[in-house]
Amino acid sequence: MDRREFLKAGAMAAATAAAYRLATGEHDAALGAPAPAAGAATATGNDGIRWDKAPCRFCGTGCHVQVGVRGGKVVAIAGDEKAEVNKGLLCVKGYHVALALYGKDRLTRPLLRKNGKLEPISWEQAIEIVADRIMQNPAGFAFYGSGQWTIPEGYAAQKLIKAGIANNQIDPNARLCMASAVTGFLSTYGVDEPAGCYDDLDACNVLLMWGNNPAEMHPVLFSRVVDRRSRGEDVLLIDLTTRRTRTSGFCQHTLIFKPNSDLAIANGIAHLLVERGGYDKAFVEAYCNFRQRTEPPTLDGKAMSFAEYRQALAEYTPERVEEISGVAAKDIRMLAELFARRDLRITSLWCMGMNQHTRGTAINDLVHGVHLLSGHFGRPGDAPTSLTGQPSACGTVREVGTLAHGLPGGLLVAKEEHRKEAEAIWNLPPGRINAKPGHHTVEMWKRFSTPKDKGGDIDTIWVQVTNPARSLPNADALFYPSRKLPEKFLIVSDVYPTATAMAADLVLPSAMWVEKNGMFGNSERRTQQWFKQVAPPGEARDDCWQTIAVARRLHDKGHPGMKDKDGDFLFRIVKDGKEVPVWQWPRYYDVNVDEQLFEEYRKFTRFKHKDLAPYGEYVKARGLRWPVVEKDGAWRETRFRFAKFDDPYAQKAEIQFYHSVTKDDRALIWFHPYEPPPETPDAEYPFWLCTGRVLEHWHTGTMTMRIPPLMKAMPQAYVEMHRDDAKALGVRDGEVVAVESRRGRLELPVWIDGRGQPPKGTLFVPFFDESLPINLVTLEAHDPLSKQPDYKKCAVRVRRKGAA
Amino acid sequence: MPISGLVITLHEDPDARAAAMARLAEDPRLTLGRPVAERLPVVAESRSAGEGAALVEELGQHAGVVRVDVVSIDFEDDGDELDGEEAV
Repeated sequence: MDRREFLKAGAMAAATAAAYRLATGEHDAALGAPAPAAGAATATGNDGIRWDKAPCRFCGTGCHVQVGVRGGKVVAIAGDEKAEVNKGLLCVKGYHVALALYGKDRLTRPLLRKNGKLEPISWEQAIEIVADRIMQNPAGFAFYGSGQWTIPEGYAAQKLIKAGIANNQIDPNARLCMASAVTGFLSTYGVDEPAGCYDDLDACNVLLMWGNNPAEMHPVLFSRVVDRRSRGEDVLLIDLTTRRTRTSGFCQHTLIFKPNSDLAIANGIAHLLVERGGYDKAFVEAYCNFRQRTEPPTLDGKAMSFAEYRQALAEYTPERVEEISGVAAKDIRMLAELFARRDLRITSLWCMGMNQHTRGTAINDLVHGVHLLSGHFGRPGDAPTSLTGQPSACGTVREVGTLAHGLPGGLLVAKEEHRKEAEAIWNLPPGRINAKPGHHTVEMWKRFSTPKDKGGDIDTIWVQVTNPARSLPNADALFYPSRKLPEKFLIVSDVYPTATAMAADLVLPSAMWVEKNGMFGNSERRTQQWFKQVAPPGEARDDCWQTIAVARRLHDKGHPGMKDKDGDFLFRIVKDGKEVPVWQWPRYYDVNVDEQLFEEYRKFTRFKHKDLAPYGEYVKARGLRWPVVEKDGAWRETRFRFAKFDDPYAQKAEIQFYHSVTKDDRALIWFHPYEPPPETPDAEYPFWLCTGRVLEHWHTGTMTMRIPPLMKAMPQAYVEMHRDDAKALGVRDGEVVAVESRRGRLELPVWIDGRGQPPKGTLFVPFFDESLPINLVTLEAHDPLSKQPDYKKCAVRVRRKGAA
Repeated sequence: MPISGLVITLHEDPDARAAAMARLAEDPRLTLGRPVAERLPVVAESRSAGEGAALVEELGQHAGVVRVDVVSIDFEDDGDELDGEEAV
């Protein structure tokens, strides 16, 4: 057998094993691919390819891949059949993930802008420049990261800012994608992240998607449900959406609603449940309290009685909801009747559609409320579940707490007892941690783009693993003005010359994905680990090393925050009892820095019952869902939080919300009224604009647009338009038009009856194309609690090219 | 020349399934495995990763094919593709 035949045999074995699993829903140990799926995380085949596990680099699903390496290069990718998340399958991005490493324009040297041009400098110079900027004005320095930071990377950045520089100026791009889900969980349960998990997708009878397009955004999860149907199971799929998408094509019901009216729909369901007696009285009386908002809004709100709740819902009759939302009254009744049935298991899914919303916290609250009110909670298949868009939005941002107000493990800088706990773990002198939260993302960038003498108190931002020049809303207001202010200094760590990197003053080349050790946390509370498998190109280095190297330089320059109360370096990494100078790059991999940072971070995870296992447990597993609790010498994960049958911390009752806002083990059912959005179409700007993703590309396309098959499959952005609107404008399919808002303008080709089909009066533009940045047009208005901007609705007009 | 492991989900109707199988069997780029109910394991060979992705799309359009899942891809020999150019 030659090598090619060997590879073919391996591919056939993997495909046969996957076919068996898909056909039967079971794993056949007798089948299986020879090399990648041989059981242990690591294996070497007869062809010399060394296989090791890693989570996919892209979305928040958390699929595991097997990475095949030969000759220092990744040469093959396979779905990891041992991974519960994806059971050996991958989406089109996942099986091309390794090609993201090999774009021809990887950044390989530090670059400093001199006389307008980026010119190579040494790492020694680069670290010195960053440290000098911080030393000049520590209060004006901010770190801007992302949900693509690994857990140790985010933890290092968090510690540098909160424990070292102590100005709390750190926020992530995840503020732009899931902050409203966080505030929704906090205000409802008193603690963040979903109670359920992906197992719910295997057990639900009804899957209700709220402004969610998982067929493109989380395809492996969606196929889990579609597969059940193809095996003859009865699963009802309902798409609540503002435009028809690929998901709609799989659903029995597609209910198109007017932008922002999802609050009215949720209230309409609750109204019918209450008025017709379909709510779960026993569940509500045992486990819930009612809440209404205050002015200004808070996560605690104000108590209300059931009678007041019922009265507040009274106006949301099916007919009134139809008027507001455009969804037929009979369909509102259909949804309420489903929730009223105890014999069904109902899972709700949502992602950016509910989160990127000026009422994001409110709609999150209301969807949780519908589940609580109807008792569709706490049994497998009965779950309100938010999905994330980034691989570690949960693990790094929400759990490590890399937000302006957060500390690791769900602690808050504003709470004295939390600061004391953190100071104890970090061995800091009392009072080191600043009680005042830093600026949230929009505010941080606004201040960076404002002259210092006009209140622009942020003068240096260090960006790691994200592309704010393309992902911030209204970029001409938030990002680009800073580039014309000489006192502002932008540092960017990245792997490619992104739009942000090319606008930076200092560029630091980074290692990515399996070029470094890492840990992610996915959407279902699953913490995942991988090892470095190939070397980064040129002089590219780990982001975590960059942070520690800067911290050490600050230490050496005398910054008092870089020492703990015993005078030790803040990032003291030891081996055999001796400190290892990991700030020196040649020494960085003398010891597993990730492991040591993670073990320190683990101490924080017990405060909110988000317990993590020792690092070594994650080396063995394809991820574990927290809380992971040791029992009888074994570490056991938790699939269903707050449910006595599975959660070791919920032992007082069948359901126990043990971090309850009201301190009585009860969750909160909120009432929030429907209100119009801050900007709606009018005579001058008559269209709604919605933005989002497509299957082939991820975020701003900086990786996927460098993967030729993906780039060829979807080469550029476009504007989806209804045929009648195109006809009225005299626009043909493919014709380039200008999409204009009050903030910006962009020229794009029109796609009529394309992949997505918006209703009349609505446009959709994906944001993956760096060369066609739709975020010049979007609105920075944001939710008052989560501070998450609304990328899903603003008013625009369309002009034919050349028209006045 | 990338090699991909695929699972093709065929239509539940036996006649449609048989017709699809016959058509797939004629495609020289494909090696068919033993079906498990409606799931057909397949190995696909293409000249480049881009061509492989196009093949998956094309297979998904065949009559009698419900869906195509990719479970593995080996692109070691796709050297030109890795540098951003189509390998031929």
